[in-house]
Amino acid sequence: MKKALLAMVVVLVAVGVATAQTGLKKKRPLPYEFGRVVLNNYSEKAGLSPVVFDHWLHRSKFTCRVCHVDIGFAMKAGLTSIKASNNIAGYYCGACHNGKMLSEGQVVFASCVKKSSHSDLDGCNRCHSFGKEVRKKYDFAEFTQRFPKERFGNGIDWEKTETEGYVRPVDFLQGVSIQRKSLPLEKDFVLDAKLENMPTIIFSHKKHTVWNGCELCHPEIFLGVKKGTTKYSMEEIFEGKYCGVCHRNVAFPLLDCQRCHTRPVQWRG
Amino acid sequence: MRRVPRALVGISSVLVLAGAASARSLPTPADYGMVITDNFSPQAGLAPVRFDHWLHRSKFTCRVCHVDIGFAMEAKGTKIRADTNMKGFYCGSCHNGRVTDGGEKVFPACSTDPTSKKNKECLRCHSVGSEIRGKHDYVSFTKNLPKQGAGTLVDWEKAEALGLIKPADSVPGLSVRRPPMSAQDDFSITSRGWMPDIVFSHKKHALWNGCEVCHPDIFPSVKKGAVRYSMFQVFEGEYCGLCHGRVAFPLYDCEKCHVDRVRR
Repeated sequence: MKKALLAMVVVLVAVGVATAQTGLKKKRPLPYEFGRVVLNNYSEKAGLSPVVFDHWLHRSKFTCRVCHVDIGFAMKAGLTSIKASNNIAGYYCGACHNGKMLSEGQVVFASCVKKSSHSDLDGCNRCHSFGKEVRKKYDFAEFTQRFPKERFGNGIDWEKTETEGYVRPVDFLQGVSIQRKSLPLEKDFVLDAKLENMPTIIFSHKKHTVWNGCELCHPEIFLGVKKGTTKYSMEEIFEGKYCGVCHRNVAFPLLDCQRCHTRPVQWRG
Repeated sequence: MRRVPRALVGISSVLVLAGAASARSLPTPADYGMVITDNFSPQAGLAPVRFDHWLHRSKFTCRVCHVDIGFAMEAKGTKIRADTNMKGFYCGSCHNGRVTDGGEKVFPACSTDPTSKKNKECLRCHSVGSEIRGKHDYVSFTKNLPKQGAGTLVDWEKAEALGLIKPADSVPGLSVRRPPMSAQDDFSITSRGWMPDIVFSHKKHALWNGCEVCHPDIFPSVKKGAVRYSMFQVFEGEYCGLCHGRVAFPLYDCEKCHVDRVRR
């Protein structure tokens, strides 16, 4: 009896957790907050503030593929479990933040250098900045001022920003990336909406591979590369799976239905 | 094993009753939908902000503020700071000294140093506990607007249909227009037990909300029946209760939703 009760309580709690995100409407993050990741796997244990990572700045300089394939960052906050020792050894953040790499003619600051070389914590605070008034080198409003705008997310049309030449995301990291001959691209295709009146989706492989290559989505997020083999629903996307891995947190959000559901269908002719 | 479900019922009723055992007093029509925000005001030495929802809803659709601007639909949930208003976000999207309303410039939010002599400007919003009155007075503003059956709340739907209010659906420089999607037809939501079914009108809801106020945040799926919720959750302020009971017509007006008296 006690066991049954306990099981029920567990079920009730689990249901509560599972539905915690629905039924309510939270504030929409501000353009500069969208995509922000706060990491605290080891920071506070090491006596440091959690790390605040601005995704917008990095995506403006690199393709998604470089960080999430070549370097191998997880696409979920906290999952990479980055340690100072990894960074010092040249992995994760340390792949670029090594005090040697150049970006726009300037040396990129080294992440998590050994304690002995630090007289104070100023260097650490550049990233371990949660809850602190750290003045960043790049100000969002200033940096994105001329970028073409769109609604939601960062408030920026990143695709257009690249085609108009405002950003040139780097797709190759010396010493990390290995160039492969590109594979032929599948043409854009139609994904039929399952609901009456819902416009169909036009999926562009071309647009997605510019920054992602093949390996960001296949095989981990979409196992099959054969159209129709991976079955998924809008509900799963809302939970952060499949398209929702990016189109919730960093790419334009799911709130903007018609960015994907673009082709109106006349169901009732 | 037969006792298990009874125990479950026991637990659930305790959980439900814990939140519902006291009858609250009804707010006055002028206070219905009012939000008091004090996330950061006290630290800045200012009174909490009193926000009149009725005035803003008479001038804008729900969508403009809760989608385009991105205000949370819970009091204090947006965590507005003077800094964000000054940068042109949240209140500052319109209250920036440039946007006009009826030919007059809308006063800028958080543009005055609260320690300066001009700090009376702050009191326009940071008005809780003071005798400051807004430019628009509820009674005179709503005098000619149609009222609802229960109490003296404004029937906003009718007010718009009669052309007495014309809520704007976009803010210049902020809203991005999309071609309208065809809304689903009105449908019935079957009630549990003896209650009449609910007739839900997408058309009425989409008028001020577009798609994005409700989907996907509140009702993730747009597929009928995919999101399961109960009247208890609605009473707790989730799903329909996010608006109905706080800003839209209240939940004690059962028959406004449970209208289908013919049981199939």
